[in-house]
Amino acid sequence: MNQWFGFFKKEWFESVKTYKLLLVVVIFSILGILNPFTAKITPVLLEQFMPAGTIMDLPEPTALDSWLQFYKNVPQMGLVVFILLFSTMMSKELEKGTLVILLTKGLRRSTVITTKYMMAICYWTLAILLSFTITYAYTAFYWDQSTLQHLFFAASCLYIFGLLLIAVTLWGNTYFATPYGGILVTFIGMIGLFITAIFPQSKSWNPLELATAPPQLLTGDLLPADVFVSYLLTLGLTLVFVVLTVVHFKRKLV
Amino acid sequence: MQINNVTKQFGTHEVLRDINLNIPEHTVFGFVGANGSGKTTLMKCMLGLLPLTAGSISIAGECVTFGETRSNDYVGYLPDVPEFYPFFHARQYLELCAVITNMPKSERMTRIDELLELVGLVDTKSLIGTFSRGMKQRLGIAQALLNRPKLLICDEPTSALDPAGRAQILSILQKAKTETTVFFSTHIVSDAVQICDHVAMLHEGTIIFQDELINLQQQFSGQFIYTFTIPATEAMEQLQNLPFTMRVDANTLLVTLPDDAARLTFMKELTRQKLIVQSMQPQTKLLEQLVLEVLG
Repeated sequence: MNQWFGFFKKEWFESVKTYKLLLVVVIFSILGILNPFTAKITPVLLEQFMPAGTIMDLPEPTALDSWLQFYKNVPQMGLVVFILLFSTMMSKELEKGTLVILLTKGLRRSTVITTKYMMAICYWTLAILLSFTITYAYTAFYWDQSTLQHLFFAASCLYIFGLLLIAVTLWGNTYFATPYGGILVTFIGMIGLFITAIFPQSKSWNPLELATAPPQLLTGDLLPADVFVSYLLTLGLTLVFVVLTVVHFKRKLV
Repeated sequence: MQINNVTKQFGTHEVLRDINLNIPEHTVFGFVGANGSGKTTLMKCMLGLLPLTAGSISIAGECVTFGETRSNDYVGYLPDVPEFYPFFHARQYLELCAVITNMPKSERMTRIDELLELVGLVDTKSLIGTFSRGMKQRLGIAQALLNRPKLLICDEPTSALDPAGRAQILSILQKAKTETTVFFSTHIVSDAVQICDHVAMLHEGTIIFQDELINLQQQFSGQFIYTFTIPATEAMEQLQNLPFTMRVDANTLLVTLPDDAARLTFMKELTRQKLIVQSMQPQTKLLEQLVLEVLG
């Protein structure tokens, strides 16, 4: 086992011991169940809570409603919780000084960053897979999903957007070396993306499109080609932030 | 290890000024200095954890560079407060260290067993998170010795330990001398006196003195402390015709008697003057005195 896998194994062990695995599995499983459940139950609830005598003509829920819940819950709740869980990846080590001994033993600084990022990617993959699979299976149980378009590509958009946010969080967390550094940078970054989205011209390249476009992709109002530039730009930015983190950490005093 | 003209500044504040040190192999080198004198800064520079403002450091012929430095292949480091992953057992942590130092798999288990035995943690089954300060310090020494370093750097290894813990650590460091060179900093002078071959003192960023401990002791050898049944000042007056250097300090008479002949002459004169000696001892706490003199 070489140095990279050795440290990666430590990251895995740590994440299990600090209940990250348990939390991710529980949270994203609940979200997976919640999506079709909310779609199914919402019309019933609305009817129950309306004043007596009110006549409502609600359409029957469809598979699309279930997936709309997915693209509302996973980015708004799941991704936020995920970022919070992984927001102290570096600062915890830097504050406690647990890396000092290992760095003086020859642990490469790039290994520290890449293993931590890779571990976060593994967890994000698990989170999306879990939530997606449960939503898919549960939705298939109630409704026909054949009318939905680009189902997997739409999910990949959200996945890629998550990779960018994790990279930004890791950079902020390494740069400021405080637990709030990563969250703050990501929060400011998100505000920046939202402000940019005000301008219609940015629609063709804004990474935020990857989080907002999936419902339109499912209905066919948008084609994968329409978010192609955003997709590539997000991947590129992700790489840039990971490289920036490595470069910064190589010069950082520990 | 050679440290040549090392200067380190943080902004405009000069922490180390023109430091020169040469540490011989297989010795225990004590690096003495008050808190805040720059000992930890110099050690971090030696490990490539801090960039130098000027000068150079080389270990086993490799020049130390900031960041990832190849010279660390020859170094083991024990920080003043070693921090470990609390969810590991001692053995698991050492296994991680062995992987990071690229130690061959065939050697790992034997070496880890050997070191756990040396530091007395072989039967410890609890997680590191539950370790006492002394146990962490011992695990710190084990990890530092893991890759058989040519130089073991220990930053104040005994400073926060109780007497039993201090004795254990000093004994381990003494044993380590057979396979490595030990460079350890301390502000507890008696620790340095106990196990060091060489001593250097850092004060306000500069080396005040450095020498073999035995040479430092010889500078003061021949000094004896006498107490009498009468005040030391009166005794000194009666002995003032003797050609020896004498001074009174806290009702004791400090006399320099460089050889046996001088000592015999002095004893005869004491008898002749009918001065009754209450106690007599050679001057021993020399390093401590030197340090106290420097610190004012």
